[in-house]
Amino acid sequence: MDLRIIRAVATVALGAALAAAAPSALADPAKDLQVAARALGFLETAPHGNVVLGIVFDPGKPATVAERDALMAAIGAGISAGDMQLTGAPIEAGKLGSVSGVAALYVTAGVNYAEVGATASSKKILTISGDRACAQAGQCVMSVVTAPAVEITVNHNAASAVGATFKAAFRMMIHEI
Amino acid sequence: MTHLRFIGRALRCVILTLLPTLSATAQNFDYGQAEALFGEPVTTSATGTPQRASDVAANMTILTAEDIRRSGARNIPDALKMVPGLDVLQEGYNVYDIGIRGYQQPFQPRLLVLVDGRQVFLDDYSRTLWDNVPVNIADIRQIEIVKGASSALFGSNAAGGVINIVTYSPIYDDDNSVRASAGTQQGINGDLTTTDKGDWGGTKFTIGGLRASEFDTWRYPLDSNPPYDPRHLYATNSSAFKLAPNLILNEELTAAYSVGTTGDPTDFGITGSQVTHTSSARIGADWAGPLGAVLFNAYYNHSFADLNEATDGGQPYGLLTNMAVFQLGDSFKVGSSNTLRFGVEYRDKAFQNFGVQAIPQVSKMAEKNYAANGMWLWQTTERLSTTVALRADQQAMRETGTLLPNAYDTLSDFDHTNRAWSGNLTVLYKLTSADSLRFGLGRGIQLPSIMNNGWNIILDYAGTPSDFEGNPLLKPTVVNDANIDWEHQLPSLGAVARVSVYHETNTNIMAPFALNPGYRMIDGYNWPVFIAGNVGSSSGSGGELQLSGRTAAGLRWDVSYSLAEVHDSAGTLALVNYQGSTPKSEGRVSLGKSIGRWDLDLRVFAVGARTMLRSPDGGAIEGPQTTPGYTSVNGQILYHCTSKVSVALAGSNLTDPEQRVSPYPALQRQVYLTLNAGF
Repeated sequence: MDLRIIRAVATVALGAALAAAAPSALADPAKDLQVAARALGFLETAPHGNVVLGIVFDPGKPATVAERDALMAAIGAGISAGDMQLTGAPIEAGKLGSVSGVAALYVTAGVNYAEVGATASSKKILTISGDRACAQAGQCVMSVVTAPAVEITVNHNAASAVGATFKAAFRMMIHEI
Repeated sequence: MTHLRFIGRALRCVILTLLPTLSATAQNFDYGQAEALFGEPVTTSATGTPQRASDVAANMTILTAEDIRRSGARNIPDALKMVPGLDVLQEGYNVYDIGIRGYQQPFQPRLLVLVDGRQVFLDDYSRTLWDNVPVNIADIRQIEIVKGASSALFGSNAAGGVINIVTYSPIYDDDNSVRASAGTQQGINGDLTTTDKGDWGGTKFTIGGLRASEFDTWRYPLDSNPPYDPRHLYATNSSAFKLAPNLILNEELTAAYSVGTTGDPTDFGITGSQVTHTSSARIGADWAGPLGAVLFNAYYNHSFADLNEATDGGQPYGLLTNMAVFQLGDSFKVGSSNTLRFGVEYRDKAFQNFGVQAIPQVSKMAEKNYAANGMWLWQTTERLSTTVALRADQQAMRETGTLLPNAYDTLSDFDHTNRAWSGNLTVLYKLTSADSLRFGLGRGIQLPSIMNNGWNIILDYAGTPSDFEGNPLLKPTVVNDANIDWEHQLPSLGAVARVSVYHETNTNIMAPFALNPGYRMIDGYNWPVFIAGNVGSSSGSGGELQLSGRTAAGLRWDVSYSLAEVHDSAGTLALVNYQGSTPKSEGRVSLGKSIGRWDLDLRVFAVGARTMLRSPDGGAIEGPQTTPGYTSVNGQILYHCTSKVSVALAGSNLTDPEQRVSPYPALQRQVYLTLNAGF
């Protein structure tokens, strides 16, 4: 086979692909949940078995309701992640103070992070969000972004506030602030 | 007093910063859990700390177990053929050499090969005998390929690159599998791995073997003819014991034996039959505590290579090498953005050659190598990280045996010490969540082989009585390189694009028997003397272009092209010929699709012409021999009988019954049927 042909084909293929395909963040609630749940497996005292994840939303904000619906649909009757069987429980942000029986809270993008963060911190519940701003602001312990690549950010102070300690190996592979 | 208070405060600050320190190393790390989280392979080898493949401070390609399985490869070099920038040269049924970014040569000395961190690279000629690597290919979790000078990160002899083979862990994985294969060239081989694990830790046993007939293709008059038929047999045991929650003790024992017909660059490039025994014993400890991840590793490598070449009048000679290695390292994280590693290493090597000499003498080479290394990874911002690594090596040698009076070098000449430093500077910048740029500068070191330093033998060589001596004054080869890598995610295509460009310079390139200082009167005869020498320099430029992905319909595809332009100085060109030894261009295309219980995979390589030094007629002078480019078609059809049992029909060089890929004997078409079963 003529190497010039291969060279030309490879160059054209790469060029065409790069030109045609701008990166786009494709939301995938099922993947977000899988990654969030697997990240919980790197806690020094990791939950296992049947685990309930609270999905925090604001009924007054349609975007958070839509994200709640997508997450609950992805969980369905339950999903398996590592050695956890994860089920979901929708929780209104305003009623967070009375919540119990959840291993962690998944905070939908757009709720009042400060209010949720303060309540979760007082109840020593770990919080996760798909919005990096929540962890950056110190209101969430962890943010998880899965598209186009998995990016995890942990807020050290927020983690300390809820008594969460992640394994050493995990901390070396994520972004800590 | 004020100063003391300041120092006290500073110390307290440092200690408090280190106390919440982080740690994890290869033995204390669950690759599977991390890989499932990030959706990409994870490595601990580059910095001694866990890193995602996309964050590594080196140009690293990771072949996963799935990549290897789909390749249909029955050995590691075959699996590596799909990696752009690697040139896999097959000189016989079971004999391979792997060049990285050009610089191909039989007895490849520039590529450091490790299995779970233990060196399997042999120090006699400085080379890797792949058939003696005691690994079941089905027990490999991943193969990490680093292109570019990496001595500071991986150790001396990682001058041109590194291949680190990571097998499944006896404590985190549960590998119980058997594989049996039969095919052309009367080839049969099999491998078995079984693991037992519990709260105490785990232990893993692996055995494997191969027997076949060497390719029946035309050979030069002086090539080993008939060649020995290929064989190998190996057994390993590795265990990890959880002595405490953060303390793991490791042990490993290996033994391997192989027979093959290998290209010998020190003998006119002829092929010689070789029987090689290797064994090793290792013990290590991995402790994660307030001082970070403290890693201790001690191992002993033994090899004995028995070579039978026509040029030596049919008299076999043997090379015995023993090496003890002690490594101590500590990795820790300071604050949230700095990771540091410090390490020291000691190597004690002993070498002796055996065989019929025209005038008997007993030369024994000994080396003591000391090294210290350090690494700093600074996560400057969320998107920018900088890694600096430095290593200093000292190679102290001496001759402990007896040499004949009036030999060119006396025993005292061998009391010589080489000192060299190596380093890496890498800046990784994530432009966006889909783009990353990596800039790297490297300085790698290739220390002289024991053979080049201390080979002393007087024999009737190809009808000419000659005195072949090592050269204790050889300078290490130094490789300086610069790399730029760009990786671009294409989520809408389910694909990723990688582009790499590099430039490297090589100085003090070594070659055996390069210098002829004239005749010496030894034992009443006037003998011509040949000694190893630094012969010149070389520079190389090129790059790799790779686009790979998976369509929505499940079609796996990978297209790549690599370019390697090498320019040798006159001495290097005449005695080594890196310039011609690697094809300038190589292209690769692979396609795969799973349909129901079937996995179908096709791999096509197009490789350019290469020119290597060989003796065409058995004469005393080597000459450049050119082989035209070729295309090789390889494929596998695999059927999953159950979730744990599969049958595969695979083949290589499918379109031609004979395929000449180099000036070494042509390869033949290979087809084989393999049964894989897990239990």
